[in-house]
Amino acid sequence: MNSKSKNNIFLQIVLWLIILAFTVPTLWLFLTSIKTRVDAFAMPPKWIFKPVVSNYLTVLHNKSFMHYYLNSVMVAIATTALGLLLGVPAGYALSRYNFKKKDDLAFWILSTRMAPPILVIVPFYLLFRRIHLLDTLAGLVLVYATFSLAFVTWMMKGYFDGLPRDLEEASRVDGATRLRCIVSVILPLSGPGLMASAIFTFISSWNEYFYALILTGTRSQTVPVAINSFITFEGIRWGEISAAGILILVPVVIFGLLVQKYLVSGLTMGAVK
Amino acid sequence: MYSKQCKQWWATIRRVLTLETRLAPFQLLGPLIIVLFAITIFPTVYAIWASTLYWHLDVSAKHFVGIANFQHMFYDLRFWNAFKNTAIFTVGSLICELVLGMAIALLMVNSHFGSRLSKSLILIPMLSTPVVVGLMWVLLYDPQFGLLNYLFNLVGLPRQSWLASEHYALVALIVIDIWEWTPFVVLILMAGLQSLPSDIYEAARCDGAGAWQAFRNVTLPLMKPFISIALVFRFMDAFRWFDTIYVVTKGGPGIATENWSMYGYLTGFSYLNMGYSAAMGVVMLIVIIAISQLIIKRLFTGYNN
Repeated sequence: MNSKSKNNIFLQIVLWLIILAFTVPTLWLFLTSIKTRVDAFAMPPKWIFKPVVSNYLTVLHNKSFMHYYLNSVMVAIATTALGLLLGVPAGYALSRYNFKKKDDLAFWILSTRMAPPILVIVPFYLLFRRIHLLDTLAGLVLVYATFSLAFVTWMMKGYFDGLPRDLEEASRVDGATRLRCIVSVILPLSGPGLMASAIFTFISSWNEYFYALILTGTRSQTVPVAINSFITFEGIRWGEISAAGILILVPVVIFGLLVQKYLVSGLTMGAVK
Repeated sequence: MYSKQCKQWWATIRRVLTLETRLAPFQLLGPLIIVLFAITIFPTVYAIWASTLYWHLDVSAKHFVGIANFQHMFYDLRFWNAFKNTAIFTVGSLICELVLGMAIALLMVNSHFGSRLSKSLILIPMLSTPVVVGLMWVLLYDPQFGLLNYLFNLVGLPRQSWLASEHYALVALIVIDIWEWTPFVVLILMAGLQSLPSDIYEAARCDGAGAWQAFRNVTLPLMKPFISIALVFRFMDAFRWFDTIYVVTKGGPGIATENWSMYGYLTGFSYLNMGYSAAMGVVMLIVIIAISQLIIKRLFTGYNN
């Protein structure tokens, strides 16, 4: 497609109307989060009003919410660390070595993401109940490896494929071992790939709901599960829910926009470059 | 003599540790394979075994029943209702997302006012946490204070409580999915469009093809691999959709928006019928594998011809 061609004015307006439609729901959530209760339920809806931070203060002072927020942070970091630890070497091996059944193995790793969560949750729940891993952060991290490992392996395989082999050959001629090559030549050049894999794993762990809903309890809940605690018997406290929602969205949206360039290859696990 | 042998061993160990031997790929892949095997193959086999059991947690009953769980599905109207909803969710959202996504991608790939900003804004829905997306839309759909009802009123349509209506709740959920995941399709198709060589368009133009003809006969066939990738990934997620449904309708009103994931979840973790829940998971796995293969084969072979 000739990307230099410019849309005419009419098409540009259509495009921006569509973009606007996609932006309004999030914008509305944000506006609700900085409205007083009265303003939030005003009809017709108010677009201009005096913003307040009281909803955010209520959420930030809510001890259990912050506890669950921290749980989410810890689970996401641990999931990412485990994913990188196991996935990066595997991705390197799939990229650089040839061995029998390599393609089958690579496809099997990819296919582990296909399993419907409802299939694996029953065994995990029953097993965790027996070995006392229910309602623990460690248990959740282990289950999250079901998606993070395939993710990191495939993304890093794609990234390593893009690095020329000459790099290693040169330093191996100089007498460096394979391990040394990886540590001091390949990894330093893989910054963007590692960063993108890490952020994707972080985002998918942060956003995950199904496993967290079933496997966690009052101690290890993650924040997506906990946000429902603002839906009380008196009704839904929309101001606070919106503020909590925005606080949940902020890290993933910022991280996601940071790795925008790698978003396509990340989300399709390298199927689209 | 002794120290020489010691040195040799030490040298061998060092060569293994520095990945100098032929074992290297297995050292690098081994840990991943072991962990992945433990957390995917084992649960799958366990679930298949569980699907042959009558297993209720509340009465701690557990005995072998063979294929009874699968036979039960045939007569279970709720299972077929969930199947129907799964199919509607999947087909409905996939078609809309593909058409809308292609339109937006075609508009966005050309330079326009604020290209960079528009590319960032369109990403926000798919980055957002699904639970928050669900709550956001509950707020928008609110029968009294929701923004959507206000807009409906403006154009003279009556107020609706979409999420409480058996007819509209399904559509309301599909709209959420379209909002959340069309950007993903846009992103993939845009990558595809950017990779197409521009000279083929000039050739098509020289042959006198109009814009629509060029799209239909040149762009679309070349975009097949990208369309199939978007389809496969969207299919896998739409088929097992759970989080937003759980937050927005919990499968209600009644069972009007209950899909397989939702029914499977309730069966296992509300009615504590583990055997039947596992059986549903097995059926879902088979369907996912079959349809993914079909999409990949159909579209990719079409491309090669």
